[in-house]
Amino acid sequence: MNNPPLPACSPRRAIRRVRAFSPSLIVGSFLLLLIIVPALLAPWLTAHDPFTQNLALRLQAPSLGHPCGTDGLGRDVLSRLLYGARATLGLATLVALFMVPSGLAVGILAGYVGGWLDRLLTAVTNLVMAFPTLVLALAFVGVLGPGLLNCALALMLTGWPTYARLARAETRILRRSEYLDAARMQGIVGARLLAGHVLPACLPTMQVRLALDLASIILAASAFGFLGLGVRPPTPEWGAMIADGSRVLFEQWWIAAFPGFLIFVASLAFNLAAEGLRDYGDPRDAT
Amino acid sequence: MNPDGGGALRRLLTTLVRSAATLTATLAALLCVTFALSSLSPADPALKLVGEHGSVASYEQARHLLGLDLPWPQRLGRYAEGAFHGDLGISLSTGAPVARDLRRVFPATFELATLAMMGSAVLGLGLALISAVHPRGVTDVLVRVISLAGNSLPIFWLGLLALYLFYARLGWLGGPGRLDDAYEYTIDMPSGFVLLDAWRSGVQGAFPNAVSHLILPVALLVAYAVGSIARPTRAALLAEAGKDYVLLARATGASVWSVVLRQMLPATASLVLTLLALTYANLLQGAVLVETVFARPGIGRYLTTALFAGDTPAILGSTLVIGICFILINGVTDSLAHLLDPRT
Repeated sequence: MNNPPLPACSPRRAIRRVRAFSPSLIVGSFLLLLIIVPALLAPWLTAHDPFTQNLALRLQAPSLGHPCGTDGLGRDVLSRLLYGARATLGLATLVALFMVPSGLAVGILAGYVGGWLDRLLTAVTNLVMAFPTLVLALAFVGVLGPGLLNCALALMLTGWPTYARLARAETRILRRSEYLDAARMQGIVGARLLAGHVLPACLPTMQVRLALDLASIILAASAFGFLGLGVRPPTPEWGAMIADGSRVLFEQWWIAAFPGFLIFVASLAFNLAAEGLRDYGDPRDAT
Repeated sequence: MNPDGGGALRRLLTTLVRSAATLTATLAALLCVTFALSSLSPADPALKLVGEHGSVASYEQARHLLGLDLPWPQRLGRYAEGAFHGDLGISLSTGAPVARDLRRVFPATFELATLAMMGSAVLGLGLALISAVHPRGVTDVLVRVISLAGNSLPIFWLGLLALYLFYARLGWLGGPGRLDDAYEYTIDMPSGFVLLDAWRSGVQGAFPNAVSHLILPVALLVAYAVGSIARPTRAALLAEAGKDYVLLARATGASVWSVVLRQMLPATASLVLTLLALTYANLLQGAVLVETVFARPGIGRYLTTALFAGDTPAILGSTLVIGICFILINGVTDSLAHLLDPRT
């Protein structure tokens, strides 16, 4: 952990890294592809439009024509599942795209500059970490109004501190290292030093954390949908589909069962990937 | 560190003062967050009070009565003062003071979370001990699977499936609600703890009925929390297992279980304590979804009902109460853990 990153890997080390490639990572990535690819190809894979209602065919059991049955408005559940993946994955991507960079920026700045700025930023980070994030995010969306953007904003605002904390710890280790001295001697300073030399060192610990967070973001996003705070109907979304299905749960259980299973698979995929990445490990830890 | 008693006392005092200061700052920040949310809310409380067809004069009067015409620092002051005296505003949907509503529903959540906590502590620590004594055994795999599932399964979905299977199909357990309707409307609920009230009511069959309604939600929360206790405890125990004092104890002839229970477990006490507190605090959050699925009248269901209704005072009041419990549990445990193990 304490050694600065090595400039290059010996071939032997590279082989060991390949061998250390864990089954969790492979299974996780496979499951992820299984969700992402159909979501992207949804228009070509589905025989039915996810919005077309057909009240004559409502609440049908799974059959050849409708492999996952139809919902309360006679819409094809399978099409809605495939399109629904877009809402969930889109939200997760959006959150990650803003949460990680802002956390990194705060952490690197605090760790590198030090002094009162460090104390201030660390205090804010600890403060947000002490909050009950799920409930606060719920309140945020509940008060500001439902919708995908408010959900994403709520998850970002409660999610960044972990990254700030990790980045700060990594930066503090590096701050007085010869590695950075060497870079400074070549005239690399300021933002270029932080982005080119400090930032890459922070990334390995980030990726495990991000995979874990994406798993919980998917669960939180579907909980928002379930509570009616996510995307507006009729746009398909897994959590909202479970809420719809829960009204007819005791007669047509499958309507709620399928979307929940996909949420489980998506979240499991990220958790497995996180485990795999952790086993695979930080190359600096390899002994 | 000074080894004499004065040093220890001073350490205790510094720890207490420092954690009290942190706690106060965190709680104050939480209050500011809920205040900011209430100000950002697009819903206009004055308009809700006078209605769409009220006159401009009565609207202005309502704004003045609610203090909405004041600058924000004064509004924050009024808000903090009110919260301090237990005034969280009037719920828009029930028409009662939010604080009174919360006092009514809080015991149910406390009961649910505490029972789940006890279950997951016993099960989690038990699994951790067994899998640390027999690494790479069946329990090891079990702990891994449980914690993966607990982190990946949407708890509200699992709750729905469990309701379908055990209530609708098999009829083994009670369904939604805290009691069957026959009892719900005949039993007084003076304390709000359903087990206690059902027991004291003396009504035939009320207590077993309350239990059968509690089993599923508690089991769900336990399943969800057990992995987050078992896995880190197991890792900490295995890390201890490599240390010299364990080897020495084993060499003197102590049995595996006696070393684990009497030496390794106490050595990880500070971590276990922190884990248990974190789990308890998270169970309060997890109860929000479970209470909603099982239609149990607790603070979580109160919050989600308020979310549906767009009832801002009720949303922020319950957020504040859940937040205060969460922060207090974690904060107090942090300083306890620090006293138990000054290295942390």
